[in-house]
Amino acid sequence: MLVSAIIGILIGIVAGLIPGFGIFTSLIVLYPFLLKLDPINMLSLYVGLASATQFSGSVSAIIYGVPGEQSSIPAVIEGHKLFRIGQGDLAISGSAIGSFLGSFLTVLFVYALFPYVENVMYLFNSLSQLIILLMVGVFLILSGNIIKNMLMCAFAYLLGSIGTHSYHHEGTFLTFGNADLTTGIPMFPAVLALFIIPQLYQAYKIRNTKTEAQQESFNVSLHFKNFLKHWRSSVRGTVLGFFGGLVPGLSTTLSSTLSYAVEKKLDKSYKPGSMKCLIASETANNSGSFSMLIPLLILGIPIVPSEALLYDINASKGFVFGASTFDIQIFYVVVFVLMMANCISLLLCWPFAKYVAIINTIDKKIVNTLILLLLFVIMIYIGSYTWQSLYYLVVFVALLPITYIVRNENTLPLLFIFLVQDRLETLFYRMPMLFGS
Amino acid sequence: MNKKIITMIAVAILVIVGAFMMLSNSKKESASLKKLYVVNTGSLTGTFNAIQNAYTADLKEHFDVELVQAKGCAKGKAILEKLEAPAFMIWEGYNLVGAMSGKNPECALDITSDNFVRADWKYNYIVSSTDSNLSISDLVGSDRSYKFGYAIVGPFDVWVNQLSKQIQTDLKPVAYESSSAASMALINGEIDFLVVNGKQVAKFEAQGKMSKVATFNPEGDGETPAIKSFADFTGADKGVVEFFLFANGSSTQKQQLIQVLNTIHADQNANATKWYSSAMGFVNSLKVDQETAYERSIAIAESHLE
Repeated sequence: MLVSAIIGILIGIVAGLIPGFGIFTSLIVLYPFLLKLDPINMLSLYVGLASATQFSGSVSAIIYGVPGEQSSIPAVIEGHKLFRIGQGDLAISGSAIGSFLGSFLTVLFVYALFPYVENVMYLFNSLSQLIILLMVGVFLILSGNIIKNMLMCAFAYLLGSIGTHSYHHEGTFLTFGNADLTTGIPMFPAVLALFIIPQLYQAYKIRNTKTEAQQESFNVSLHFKNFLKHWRSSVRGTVLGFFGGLVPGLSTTLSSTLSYAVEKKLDKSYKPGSMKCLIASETANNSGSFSMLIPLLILGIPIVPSEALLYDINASKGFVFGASTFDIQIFYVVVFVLMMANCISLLLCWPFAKYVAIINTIDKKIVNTLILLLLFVIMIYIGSYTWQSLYYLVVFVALLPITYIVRNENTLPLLFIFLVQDRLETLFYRMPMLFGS
Repeated sequence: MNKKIITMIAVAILVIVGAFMMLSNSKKESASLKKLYVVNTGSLTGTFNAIQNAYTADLKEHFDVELVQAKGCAKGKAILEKLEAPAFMIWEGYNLVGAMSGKNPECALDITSDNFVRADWKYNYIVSSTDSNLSISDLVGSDRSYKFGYAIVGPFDVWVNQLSKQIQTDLKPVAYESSSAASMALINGEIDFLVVNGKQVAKFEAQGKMSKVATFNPEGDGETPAIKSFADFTGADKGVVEFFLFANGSSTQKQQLIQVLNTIHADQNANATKWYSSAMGFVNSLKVDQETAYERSIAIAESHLE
């Protein structure tokens, strides 16, 4: 168990640092290895991987302005700007301590409410899921120029609608008889064109300030003091992240975005590069990475693709997650691995903070070019999984004019609606069936 | 002179290349199966992916196997045309109906006895949650109105409406994106009844969350009555079918694959065998002869057109 957990943590740290790689792709790569593991070892590896990815994903987001995981998107918006103004070390340490606290408080919370945890799932019916999604959408639209945000959301919904109808799986929208288009607009090229490049462009324009020089000495107490100034944001992030993590299909992405949107709304003196928003969202995604396991472990319901894969591998080996197989021992295993992942990730990721100043001194043109080249290669590689490398490339190129138009905008509302479009469509269609006469 | 030599060399190259290609093609036709693509035409999270992953692991002991994720039937069909080596693909039976009815023309694919390898015949179940304790007597001839869930794959909205008329109970069809989402909705009380596959039933019945109310199997299932016993309409006694097809290879290679599949299904430790043993209501067509299996599978698929 220990070895599997450590392997999972180390792979998770690497996967989080590679933009777009994520938990699911890591599991696909590890598939032949997973088949050889027993359920407990597989679960240990998965928990270690999922937790460590959240940690290192924020490092990638803060330093390079590229989200290692979808849940690190708010970290790109706030963290990378902090990095550009010379506070990258504080951003990384704040995220790391917040992530640790978020996981720790969630474990305590779940442990205290252990007998009642199952009932939490009953709150997440279709109506409550729709309300939560719309609430996040409204928060994001109100968090800037409302007209521009609404236009971006409308475009994102249209973009997400392309392909086979997600609700009834019959008929297509704007596919023009093309087989690739029936699979929809792939996430990676869309995220690269509509979010990462605008973020890199905006960060490129920010001039480094004198605070960069202060990073030469690494002062531990300074980092804790910085975090303690924002502990309330971290606690709020833990609570919101916990409930966001339970929403099927979105989980940690919703955790961090919901927490980010709420914190931004609460912060009267908000300006880009907000430490509060960063800490809240980073705490939330770690809290969510634990709560998302609850439906799988207790009800046997996988709510994110990586869990579905884990579930099926185990089912094929004769072990089915759920109430009949869940016991306190499994809970202890999860808690142990989670806390170990947090400790190892904290120890490995935080020291990155010491070196961020060095990266910051490299010519931004070189760094950005390298990042874009790397992302380009990864995009082609991910596309090759489904024999769609060329399609990914075409989608990316086709979206570049939009990239130019939104280069100075906060495209988070656009990205969020694009990512949840499928879910929104199914929920919109289902409501009349549930509540109509 | 130079021109002549160049022309002769060019012709010689063409002849050699042509001969090589012909030889390699004839070798491909007669050679035993070595390289095999396993194509998943379902989502990355569904049953199809689980089955094809299990098969991939088992088939690796016999062939050089590569799993291809097509993310849908239209793309699966397009990939099949691109692949140069033999491929083993799972294909939803409803695609046949969708293509024939014009609802889903992108997924039109000829299923013939030549490319047919095997099929799964599935008998779905009507279930209720154990918390609601709703039984067959609550369902049939009731004054109440029930929300009746189903997963989107298949024409179950039509089916629920037919059932509603037959049993004279107001049933409102509610669609879900997957059988997992529908099962969760049943458990959290959002819907009253659900028509779902045996895999989900086996899982949640073991956990005490779900109770079987009726089955599509015309012979019933233990104490669970057949739907046909209380409702008589088209489809009440029909299961659904999932096809497994072979493409880009010879009939000898197809037979070789079938033999290996028989070996896999006879091995209790094989990944595919374990997967199927943890499900309910699946019948493997390999148990009957190929021609009968093919004809029965097509008949089941086409019956949903009625």
